[in-house]
Amino acid sequence: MTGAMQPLAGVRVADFGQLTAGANLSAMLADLGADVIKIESGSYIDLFRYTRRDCAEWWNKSPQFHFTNRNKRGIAIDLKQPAGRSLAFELVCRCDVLVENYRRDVLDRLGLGFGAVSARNPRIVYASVTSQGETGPHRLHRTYGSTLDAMGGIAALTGYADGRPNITGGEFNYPDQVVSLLATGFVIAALREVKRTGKGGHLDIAQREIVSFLVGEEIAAASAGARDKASLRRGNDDGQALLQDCFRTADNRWLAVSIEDEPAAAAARRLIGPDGDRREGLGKWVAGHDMGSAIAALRSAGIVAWVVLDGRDLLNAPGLVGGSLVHGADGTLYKGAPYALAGAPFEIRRPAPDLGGDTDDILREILGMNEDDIARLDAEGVTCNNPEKAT
Amino acid sequence: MRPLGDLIVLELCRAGTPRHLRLAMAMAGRLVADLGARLISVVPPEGDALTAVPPFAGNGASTVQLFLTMGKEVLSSEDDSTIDQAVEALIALKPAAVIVAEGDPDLVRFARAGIAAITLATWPEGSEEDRAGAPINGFGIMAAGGILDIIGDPDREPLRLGGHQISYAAGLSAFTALMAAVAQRDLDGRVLDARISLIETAVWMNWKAVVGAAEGDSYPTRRGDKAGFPVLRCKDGWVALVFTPMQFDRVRAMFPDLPLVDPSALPHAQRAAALTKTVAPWLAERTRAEIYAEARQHGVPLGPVYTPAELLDDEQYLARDFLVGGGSDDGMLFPRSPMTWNGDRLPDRASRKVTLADVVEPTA
Repeated sequence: MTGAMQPLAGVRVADFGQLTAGANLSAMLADLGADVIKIESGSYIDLFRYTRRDCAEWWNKSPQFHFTNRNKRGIAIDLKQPAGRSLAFELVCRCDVLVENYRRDVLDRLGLGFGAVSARNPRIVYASVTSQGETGPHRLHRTYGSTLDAMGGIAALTGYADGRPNITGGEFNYPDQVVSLLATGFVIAALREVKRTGKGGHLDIAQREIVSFLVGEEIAAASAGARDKASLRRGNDDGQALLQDCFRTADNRWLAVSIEDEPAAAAARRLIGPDGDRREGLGKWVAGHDMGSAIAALRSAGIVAWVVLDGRDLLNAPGLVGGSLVHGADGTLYKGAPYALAGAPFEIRRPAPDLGGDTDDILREILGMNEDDIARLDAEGVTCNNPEKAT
Repeated sequence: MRPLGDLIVLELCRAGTPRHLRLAMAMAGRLVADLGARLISVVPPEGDALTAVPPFAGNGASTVQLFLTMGKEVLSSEDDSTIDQAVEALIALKPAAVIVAEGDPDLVRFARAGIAAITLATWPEGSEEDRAGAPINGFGIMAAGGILDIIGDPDREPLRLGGHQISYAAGLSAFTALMAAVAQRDLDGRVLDARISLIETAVWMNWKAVVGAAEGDSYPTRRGDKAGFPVLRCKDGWVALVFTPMQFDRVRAMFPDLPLVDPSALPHAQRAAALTKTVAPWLAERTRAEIYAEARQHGVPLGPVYTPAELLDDEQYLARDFLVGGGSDDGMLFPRSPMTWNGDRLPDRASRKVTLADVVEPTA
């Protein structure tokens, strides 16, 4: 994000977001210029901070945490203590947006639910990234991204033609990624609604609904009776290309090939032989070629052919990843932006915060506390920023 | 809630726009229309590429096209001169933004008119692959963006995600970028253009594979059921057995009579297999509903696998009024925008075909 274009400049966000869905939503708001304050404590930290336990102050060293919390400030407030809850309440009452993805009843029990906060701060956008929604009979069911893959409809559509449904698992977690992409736009829309009406509100972003929204055409087709269970999983066949699948090359790489239409099929037959547009013939031909020669031949025939890249390949392909990965001033790798705005490169204005790294500044600047107040909170453990010392 | 009710946004489909970009454009436009903008979708004389995208309803209509056109005014051009006239007339309406594919011939006109251009592209700006011009589609993008590598079994071919996920995810990015452009316009009147490439969106979503590779040799790749959460058969379908080692006590309570091994005592790669062996017979004797009820009772984040057809009758979706008719009497149902504001859904708006005269001088 360019320093000149910060569309959310002046917007302050109280960030209770965890892991990807919540924390990354807040990171995207921060990227756009919002002052995002991540609220954790020594007794309750973002779960991504646990990914590295082999060093001193491990909670500040997690690459996954850094990826999803850049451009934020951090405050440590122990919500288990009454004084901590009061402090957090005063802070969120001075914010324009609150982001949270806790289980449905958690913030209510802490006195930080929408009703309590909006009574004091009626212009707040209270953004709850919920599992299945704020309402409904299943609102309290715990979910992770893989649960949502299963319950939202995508898993049923993903898999080998003869096999089980596939979830994207914790190592990809597709639902969490798309949730943060979309929820960021919804929060900006809600801020505009507040400006328009003068009234804040509760923005309920149901993650399972997002997953189902992304298979909306399949739900519609099912409602028209145009889908049955037998046709749900078709491997790499998308119902459009004449032949589409991955084939192993002679040098043991996977090549993704798509013969999209009849001209491409004719080209495959000319290149390979009469069965060049059939799975067996194409697979046998690819197996006899190394990746480079197979790609060159297929592409010159106008056929879609791309090597299946993995994480290491991408790490070594800066021209391919564009602005989706960036390096900070200290060389640390960060997640970038999913878009380029105003033609400017993505900017890491500040690294992800150490646990409670900006506590004192925030207490002084936003809550107007003096040094004695701040020292007292520290002594009482209300602002403890060390998980190994937290009670 | 109608936060974009004062805005006009254009969605400009050209002849030859690649299908993977057209799908992304349409998804972004659908979300903008849901929020109350007057979304005018201009379709070229050759027709909208979406109409050829499966699945199809009984009457032959693409449900993709029906789903993504909801809430929009669709302006079909009869010939190339008409589309040029339409663009000129639409610019005069002072739209806030236009959603286009890369290489749109009118980008300079939009810039001169102070209209934010939200441009969908395949490749990152200036990439060598883009310059090389090799053919590509959504499947190729999933390969080059590392998504295929993540899904499927380790000893079998990589798998695509079902549906049109890479295009739709880019559409979500484009929607959020458009909202950022609107915020910038509100803030200081400046025009904020955005460029969204599908490859970058794929890599951005697949960040755990990249950060894993940066950390060492054991980075995410497809491991099938060894990835941690097995998908297992039950009496009437499948369930994804999802839980973290910290939730093992809950799992033990859910299966009190089974000899479960604490997963934290096992190497990561062996956890799913050990669990599968123990619980598979128990699951096979029970339905998804029975298993889900047990999981809810014990706080285990397990997920029954539902088909799109089953979502039509889903208790939660019915209670939350998530599905809605498309404005015709064909009985078809579509998802609403996946959010509520103070408990309310966004107002429903049907798609309608319009003429240029309708657009320039609206009668209703």
